[in-house]
Amino acid sequence: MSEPREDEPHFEALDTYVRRLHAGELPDREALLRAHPELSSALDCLEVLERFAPEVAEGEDEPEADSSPSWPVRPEAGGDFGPYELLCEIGRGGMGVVYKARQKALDRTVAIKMILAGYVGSDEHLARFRAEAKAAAKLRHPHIVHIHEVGQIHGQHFYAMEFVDGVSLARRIEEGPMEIDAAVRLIVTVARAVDDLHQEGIIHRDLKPSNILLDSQDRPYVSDFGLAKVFAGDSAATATGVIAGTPSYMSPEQARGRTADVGPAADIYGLGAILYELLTGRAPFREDNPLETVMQVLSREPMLPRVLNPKVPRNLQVICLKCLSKSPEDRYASAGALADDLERFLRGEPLEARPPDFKARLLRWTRRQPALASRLAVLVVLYTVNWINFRLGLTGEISWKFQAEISVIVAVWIAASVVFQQFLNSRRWTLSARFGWGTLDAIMMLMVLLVADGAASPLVVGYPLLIVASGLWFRVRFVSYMTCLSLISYGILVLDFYYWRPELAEGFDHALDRHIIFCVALVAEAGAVAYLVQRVRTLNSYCGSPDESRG
Amino acid sequence: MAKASSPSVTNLIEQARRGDEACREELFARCRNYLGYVARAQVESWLRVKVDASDVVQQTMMEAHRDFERFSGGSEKEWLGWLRKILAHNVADYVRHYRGTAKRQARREVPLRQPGDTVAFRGAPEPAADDATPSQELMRLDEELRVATALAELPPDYQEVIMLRNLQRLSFNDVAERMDRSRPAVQMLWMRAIRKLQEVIEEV
Repeated sequence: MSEPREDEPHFEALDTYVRRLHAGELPDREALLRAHPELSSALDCLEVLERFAPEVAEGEDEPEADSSPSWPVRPEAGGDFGPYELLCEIGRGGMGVVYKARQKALDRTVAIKMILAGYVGSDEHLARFRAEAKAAAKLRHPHIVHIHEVGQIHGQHFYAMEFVDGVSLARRIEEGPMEIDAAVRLIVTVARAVDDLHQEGIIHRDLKPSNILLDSQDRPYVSDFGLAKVFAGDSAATATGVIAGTPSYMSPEQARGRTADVGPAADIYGLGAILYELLTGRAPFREDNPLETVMQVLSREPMLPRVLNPKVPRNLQVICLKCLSKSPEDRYASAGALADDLERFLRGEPLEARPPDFKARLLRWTRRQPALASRLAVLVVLYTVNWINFRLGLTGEISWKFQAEISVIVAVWIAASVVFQQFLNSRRWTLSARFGWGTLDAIMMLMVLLVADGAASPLVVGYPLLIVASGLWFRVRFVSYMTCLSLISYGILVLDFYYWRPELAEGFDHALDRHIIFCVALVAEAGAVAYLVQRVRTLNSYCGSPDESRG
Repeated sequence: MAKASSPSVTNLIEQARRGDEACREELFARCRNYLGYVARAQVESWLRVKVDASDVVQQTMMEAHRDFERFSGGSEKEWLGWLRKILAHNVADYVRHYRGTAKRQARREVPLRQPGDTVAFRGAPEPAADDATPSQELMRLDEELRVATALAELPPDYQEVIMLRNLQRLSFNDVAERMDRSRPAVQMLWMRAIRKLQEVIEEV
């Protein structure tokens, strides 16, 4: 076996060679052999292997009968497709395959996107597809992939477009982070192009990094506008198909499925989502399954870009988050306005976008970390009520000692919650933070009750609250965990009630049955919550795996 | 496997056409590995999942046997091209069937088949013994078949990485994902696989 170190220089050479072969080019074998004469037989190997691959001259032995429109036979690369010669496959999306092709009459290279038969919906969809494509074909723009032709050959719907020799922005992001200024300039160019689309009455609807192509000079080209999404409307295959795509870049109004509301503002959201990913390296919302992502798109705020990448300037964050506003009215009025503001940012001038006012900031903050916000709200309200009570002496004399103890506990609880929220934000610690935070809640609740009147205090309603709240994470296991903690914690209070502080029982029902009833109720409640969680998860997996549900 | 004494494919075709059953079997046996790789590459390129393409190969071999008289060419290139055409039909059918999208359409090249004369082809028998066929130059063995034979002798993970990278043209990122290893690891594996393949080809 050869040593790795010796292989490395050859790896580059061989890899480049294979990539050329795959691109359908004839690599310069002679030049390579001059540099590495020892590679001769390796190149032979690679060339033969290339002949194994499917795209090589795979013609049908008889011409495909045109009488089978129910399943148009997929054209093979290397063969002819009407006036085009398919060279090789360059991409594969949910809805179709993209080929590099040669338009024989004009001898130009084009990209052809075939729409899979399963996605061709009603005649109405086809009509819409045609209309959009016609509008798009009229458009000539240096940063928009030009549509040459839309049509149907042997029952196969396709469109032919300009061929951009390069990579998609999605691939570029994978390769590594981009300089902030370069990212902003890129979005300015794309936003101007999208603005021109809007001027023509075309809405892209599906802006995302994989639809932005970059040529060898890193100039961006907007691709795939509108057309593909027309098919995703509501044909049979797409009831779940809409969710089956990547909802990470989808605007809230699209996620809600209100197609009538989808206007230029949806594209501005998409631009913001791309900018967000360029700045932070990840999409604003990306959960394990599509339904959860959609729920986040609808109701949560993305994490602040500056938290993920401290190098992001504050002003740029303001611009990015303005694009990602939930309500279309809160975003930029047009893609052009976004481009203007980004240019102002580059020049260091004051922005049109104002940082959100206090109210909006508070709202966003709570949507970003609802777990922390809700705890703070409850603690602050309870503490305030307690403090007023203490000052005014509404329910008799309260000792300074008691007040001080409660203050310390609440302060510790709040501080620890803030820390747990930070852990919750980091992907690595999410799970441990969730359980840790739940444990903290149970312990702190116990402390408060031990300081206060224990099992005799009305504060025991905190336990049902803990269990219900645990259901919000949608994990049955977490609900069970919190239920056990609550029961243990309450058990300690019961001991406290009968043995450690028997004085509590004065003027109170002594019987054990009220504690038993309370515990049984807790368990019953946990059962109901767990059942609900289970149902939501079933629904979730149904929506999340469209292939199975489609059968 | 017959070594220095393998007859060329051209030769085998000629003999088989004259009715030499042993040559015919050897001709088919020799293409089995090759068809296996091509079939898997094609089917998996469409379906994007690991599949067992042996049914497709079986069906293709069966049809090739049945329609052997229809094959008019003489060179290795024509022979493999003919097999690949039959294979392409079967791959299309298989993919269609696998997706469950469309009803299986009646096959198109039925004319030669009479009702009831299905040829039951149960895999190729072992190649004929060395002395049964005239001795030939090793190099006559078609490149593709040689490489396929060599490929079949590699360890499974070497085969897999070549299958994904060269035959299915996946990027190293995708190969890494499919093989559940890191990208540098699959690149290294690929280099080793190509090296090993060269070595084995020399020996075949």
